[in-house]
Amino acid sequence: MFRRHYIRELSSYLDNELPEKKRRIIETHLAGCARCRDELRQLQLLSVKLKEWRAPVMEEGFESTVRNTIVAQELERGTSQMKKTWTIMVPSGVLAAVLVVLFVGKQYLPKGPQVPIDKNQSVAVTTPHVAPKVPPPVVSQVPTVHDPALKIKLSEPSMQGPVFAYQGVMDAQRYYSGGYSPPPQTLMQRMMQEDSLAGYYPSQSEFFQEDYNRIYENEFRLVRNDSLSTFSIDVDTASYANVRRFLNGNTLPPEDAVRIEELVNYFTYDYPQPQGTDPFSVTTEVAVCPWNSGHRIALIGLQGKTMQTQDLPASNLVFLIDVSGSMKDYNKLPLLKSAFRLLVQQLRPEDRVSIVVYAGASGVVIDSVSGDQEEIIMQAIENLQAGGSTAGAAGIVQAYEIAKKNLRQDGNNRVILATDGDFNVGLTSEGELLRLIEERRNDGIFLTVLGFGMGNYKDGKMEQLADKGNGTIAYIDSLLEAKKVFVNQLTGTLFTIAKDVKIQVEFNPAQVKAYRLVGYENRMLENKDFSDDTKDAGEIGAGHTVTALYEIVPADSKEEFAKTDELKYQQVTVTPSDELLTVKLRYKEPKEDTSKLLSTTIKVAQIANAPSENFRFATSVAEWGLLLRNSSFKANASYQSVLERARAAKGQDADGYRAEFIKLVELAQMLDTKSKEVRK
Amino acid sequence: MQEYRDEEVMQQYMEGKAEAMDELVRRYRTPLFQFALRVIGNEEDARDIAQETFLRIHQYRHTYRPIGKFSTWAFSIAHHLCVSILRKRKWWGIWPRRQDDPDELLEFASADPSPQEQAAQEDVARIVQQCIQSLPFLQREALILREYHNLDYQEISRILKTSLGTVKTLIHRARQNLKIKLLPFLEETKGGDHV
Repeated sequence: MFRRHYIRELSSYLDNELPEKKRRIIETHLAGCARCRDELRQLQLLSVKLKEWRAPVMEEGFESTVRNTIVAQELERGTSQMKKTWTIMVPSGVLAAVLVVLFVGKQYLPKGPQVPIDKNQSVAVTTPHVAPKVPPPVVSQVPTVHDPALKIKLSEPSMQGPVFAYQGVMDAQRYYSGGYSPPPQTLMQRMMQEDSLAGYYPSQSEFFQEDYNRIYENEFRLVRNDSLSTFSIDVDTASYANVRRFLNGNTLPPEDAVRIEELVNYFTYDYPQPQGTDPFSVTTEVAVCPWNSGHRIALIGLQGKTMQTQDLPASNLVFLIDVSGSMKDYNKLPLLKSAFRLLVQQLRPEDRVSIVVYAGASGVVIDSVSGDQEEIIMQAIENLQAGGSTAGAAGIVQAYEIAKKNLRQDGNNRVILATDGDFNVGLTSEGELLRLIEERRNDGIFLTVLGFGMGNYKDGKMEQLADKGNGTIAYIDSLLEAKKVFVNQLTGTLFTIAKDVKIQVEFNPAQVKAYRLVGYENRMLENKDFSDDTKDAGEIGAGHTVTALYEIVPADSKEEFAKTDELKYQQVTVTPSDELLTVKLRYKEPKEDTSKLLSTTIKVAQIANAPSENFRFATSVAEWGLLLRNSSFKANASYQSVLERARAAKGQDADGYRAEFIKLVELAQMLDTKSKEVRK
Repeated sequence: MQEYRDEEVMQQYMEGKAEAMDELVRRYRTPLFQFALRVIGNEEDARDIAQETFLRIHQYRHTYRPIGKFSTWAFSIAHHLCVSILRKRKWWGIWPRRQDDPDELLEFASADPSPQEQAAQEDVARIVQQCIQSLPFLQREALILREYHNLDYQEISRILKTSLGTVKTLIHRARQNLKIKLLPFLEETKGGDHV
């Protein structure tokens, strides 16, 4: 019996999308036609195979991102309407003239920044950065809280500091957009009351997302070609807390969110206190590399001098707090408030505290209040409420102005920025902002950046700010982490004992073939920068420990590395020596401009057979980092070996951080296995 | 709120119940994100599209009519955003010139290295992903909606604003294209049932 094949219909048949009659015909046909049966089986198999591509799920908490964005958009719409009203008032002739000029100008101008011409977007695109000419934000009209009378005012619900102030800005916006009415209870309710939404499109660039700068891992370098390695220290720990947040949310962190040096430096190690006048001690140790037995690991550990809180010089602290809409989430502003409660308890009468908030506009909440006025400070913090868009730059400028005004020559001057990092820089460009921070750094004002929340966390931008501002960045994901930053390590967070700390290691080609610095990718320096005192580098706080690890390939190793051809005009002679390497350190006292030099050498004989607890724990954290980064240098790294070493090297662990680490490694191991299974 | 159908939740949102949006986001954040991710192939853009879809649902909430399914509406917004993001980025190679003619679309399928060459090193999921992403735009969208979101042809035709017959052809073509590229993986279990 000759029948045509039904190849074309089989796809619809598989999806059960054929009319009943057709389906029956095909069923009968299939019973007698091997080719069509085969085709159908392939389609079925294909369908199964396709399911192997599993996309990640969207994280929990996306609702609040959406909600906040809607609120932010609604608020911005208020501003854009104001602009519209204004536009209508401009005589149409002028408008036409402007258009002509724009059009002609566009024809003749070479490549310039072009505003996307989209009838729906034109308004939204231009408005977010326009600081509406609201009357000077009511914030600044709130008197400073020295005034005992205000203490009473603040506790009155009708006269709450920043809330009142913030609503002032909103009301001003409403006033300017025409039709003033008292603000309803919540933004969401207000939003839902408004009806005319058509014609308003948000601009694409407004979307919030997490940002990580790409990390290009340090590679092995041949000692023969390049015997010097130079980098700046880094006491930041933000990456660890951020990685923990991902893992606790049952996902592996993105590779670029894992900065190995920050994982290693999250933990304090048992290095000796410095002797004499040096602000820190240097410890070195070499032993076999746990993830590649043919290699060695050289550990360089710095221990900053420990100080008691009461020995700290008086502080001039300016808190710059982001109260924009995106800070509403439970793990942002509410957590920040609890964290500050911890900090305020640590303050002394000689310390001065100022608070600057920023959202759509920025304003001073309290100006230089004594540290023992706990109640006033707490009241001011309690009253903070999130809402509105973010103009971070204006806030930073204002915070530095306040810090400069209250500058203490002999004290500790510091701006503490608390944000989720999602600020648009408004009229100031990002470059200008960084320049401003660099200038203020020379006035002796340091910067601490505290990262909060998730969803729109701009890690790269915040790290850049902290680096430029002679400061540190910490990511706060829980009250426990807040305790670490504000209580256990308060002196380190607030007091810098040495600045521009650079490390240069010289390797001996007679003993070392190649080396690789583990982590510190964004802290690498040119070799010539080491003795150049104008080049900025990292700071070390009181009691901080900093650890760096070099993976070293012994000179007798057979391993091949990409190398350049032999030089034609130069010959390198190697002086026989039993030294493995020399570590040189440069640092400046916090108020000095010239650096001091420290140096120490490691001999081959010092290679340890039984590495110390410090070494074992630090390398297990680094190995974990290699796994999380899926590093090309991970060699035989495994979760099992990380766990074994970490468990054995847990030590006293009074605060439980190392125990937590072990739990996180176990979690990562499970997630990693799971994702591998999914891929298979 | 969990007991309500999507359409009812949307109705509540239109009536001013703000929490309804949270529920809609909870229900659709992952489907929309995954749809965009599979179509666009980039997590950042996919996130943006998912978010923007909800913003538009909010903006155009008054135009929603509960006659059609909410999912159709949501996906059609996401589809629209995928199209415009591709247009904006001028990925002309991916964006077909004549989207109304499915026959034309085949010409734009890019030539990938054959899967056999990659199979040794890479896993199936990755190859599936590459193959799907090398499909012409509408074929890819139609197939993704069918295979990963289990939508019927009627719904897909509404989302893509095309006829039922076109959807049928798009999916058939997409599968034929994939079958050729993924043949080595389909043959493993083939045989034994020949007549």
